[in-house]
Amino acid sequence: MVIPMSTDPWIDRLSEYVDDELVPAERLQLEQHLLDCARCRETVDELRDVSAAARRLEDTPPATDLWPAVAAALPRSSSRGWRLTLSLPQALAASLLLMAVSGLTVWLSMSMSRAAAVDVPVETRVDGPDAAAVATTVSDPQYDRAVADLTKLLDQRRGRLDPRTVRVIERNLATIDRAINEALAALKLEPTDAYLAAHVIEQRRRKLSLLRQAKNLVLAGTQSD
Amino acid sequence: MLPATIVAAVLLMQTAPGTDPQQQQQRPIGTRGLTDQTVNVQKGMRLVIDDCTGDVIVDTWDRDAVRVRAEHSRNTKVEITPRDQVLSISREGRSIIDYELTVPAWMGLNVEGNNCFVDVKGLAGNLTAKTVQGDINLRDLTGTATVESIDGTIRIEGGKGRIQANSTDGDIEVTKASGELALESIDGTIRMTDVTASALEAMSVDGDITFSGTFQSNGRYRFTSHDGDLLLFLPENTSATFVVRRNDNSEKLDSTLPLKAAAGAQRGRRMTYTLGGGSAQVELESFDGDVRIRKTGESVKKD
Amino acid sequence: MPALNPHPSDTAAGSVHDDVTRAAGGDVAAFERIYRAHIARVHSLARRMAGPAQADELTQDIFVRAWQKLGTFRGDAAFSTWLHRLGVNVIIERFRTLGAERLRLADSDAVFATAPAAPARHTERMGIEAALEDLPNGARRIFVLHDIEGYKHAEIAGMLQISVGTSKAQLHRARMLMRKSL
Repeated sequence: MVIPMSTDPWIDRLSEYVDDELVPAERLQLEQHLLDCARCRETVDELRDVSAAARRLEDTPPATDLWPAVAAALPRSSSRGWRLTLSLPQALAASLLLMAVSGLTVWLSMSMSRAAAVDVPVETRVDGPDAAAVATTVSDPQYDRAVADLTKLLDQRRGRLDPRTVRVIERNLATIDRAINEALAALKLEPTDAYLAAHVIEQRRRKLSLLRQAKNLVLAGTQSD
Repeated sequence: MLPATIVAAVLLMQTAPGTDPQQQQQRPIGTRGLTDQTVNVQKGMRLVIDDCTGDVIVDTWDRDAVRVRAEHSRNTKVEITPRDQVLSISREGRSIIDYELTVPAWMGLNVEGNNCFVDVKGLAGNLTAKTVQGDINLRDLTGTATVESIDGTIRIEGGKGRIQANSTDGDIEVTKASGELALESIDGTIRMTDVTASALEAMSVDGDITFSGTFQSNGRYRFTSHDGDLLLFLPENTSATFVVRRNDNSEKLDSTLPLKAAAGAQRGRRMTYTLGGGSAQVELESFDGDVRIRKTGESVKKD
Repeated sequence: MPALNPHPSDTAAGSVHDDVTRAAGGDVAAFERIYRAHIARVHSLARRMAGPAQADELTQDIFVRAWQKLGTFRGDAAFSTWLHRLGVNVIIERFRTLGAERLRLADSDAVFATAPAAPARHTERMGIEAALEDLPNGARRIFVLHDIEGYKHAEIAGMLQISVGTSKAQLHRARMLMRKSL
């Protein structure tokens, strides 16, 4: 229901008249009214002018060339899928990964329990005998498989996500990849350093976690057109 | 508070089966509608909204009932369905729906959606909230919560619950909270003010982490980042042991509080310092960012 | 050997189809030609619907979405029509992400009671484009979709999930405010 802006009952119907959307009986009544209402006639002319001016508007490009930003956001792999660089020249023992995948909540759970018998060592988990494992260059099949599977799924269904979300996820995956690579480069120089090893594990956990989040979004199909 | 213009109009809703309707009102406004329905619930039930498209604002009361007020288009129907231990709220139609819910404090809550803004106050029950591009605000929670957003900001204010918050690109802001907190962001900043948690983990990849508050005796705290800076503001009487790990740990830790490095405290990239009695256990790790400790209230120049 | 980039004004329907086919297969150079041919229209749409501040980002999102969806273009309508409709969808989805700026449209008096009158500084004649920015959001978007972009009220109602009556009322409101700017 439209509340009239004035006491004239036809003023709010004038756009419909201009667009020829009134039923014949109403159009006839309005045209009768226009014969006596100069104000309405003037308004009709003004509305027609507005509409005509809108149709004549010309399109103009942006002030800056947006192509570089667009191009950067396009996936470039041969499969037009996710741009993930999985360059992991070193990987860590499976036991380390297992610790990492449980990640944050394990640490906090252990902290929260504060059981006297569970005295979580203040340094991270990979000192002592496990340090030797850090130096291995055996690829971690469990992690690689998980990343590959998730990447493939996302590649196939990335169209189900809003471009902005895709952009956010890709940007953050790139951030994590950079962190992993920087940590691996440092680890390469000092292969038995416990902190560096744990740091790599932690970043890989984050990568898996984000990939899984993206997967859940895709499967939920919450953003499909 | 729903806008006054909308409060005047409510759509009649079908009563959820198996419950006693307390109150139903129907007043239409053109194509907009307001649902207002209250249903009784039993202890142990969870409230589930798994297709959230607008605001979900939750407050608590001491009744064993859930009041649902929702604003939506007339073509959309809000369905409130109790089944076993779950009270499900869903929509029929595609309109954005904004909810204002009043629930018993004990009730558990699951909210999930894409462009969904969640604001929960006073809940003691378990909360799970997941959004893609919506903010999540948690206020005065006393129960457990797991919340996740890809692009939204997560704000935690007050409360003493156990909260796990994960924002991929958004910031996490915590104010005046105690309890136990696990906060994670990749690119967003994590900012904690007046926090007195007994256990805390704050992790980011690229975002800065700032903490101001107090450590509990025997509390456990961990702040880690790859590239972000870590900045702690602590009272002078803090009692804590700090284990600091950085890729380049050759320089002494930047602190205006009198930290003591014990003999033999350096092992590889790990340095250990104590402050006061060394009671709280604090881990500080940043691969490439700055790590700084300041007195509470001290100003810090940005590099 | 890739062809030299044709000037957009030289692009005939046949070569547009070729570029779409190539771009759907991953040819970024072909997609750039598509971009250059349509950037003015897409950016103008984004700017008029969402305002200058968001226009650039929305434009990028639209082209990225187009890249993703190229494989679904059937060729049964003009490519520009397809791209334009896709752009409108992206813009409308973005509105839905902005909690504070949700597209709240009501048929009630509120539309007229609360919509701002044209501010005093626009009493002098000025262009439509600038005057657009002063319209209330709902009225502006419907004015853009109907009077500038040529959609019918039934289409607009479906896109924005409002009634045809609301669409007509908002359009009328927009025109009444805009006439002071001409």
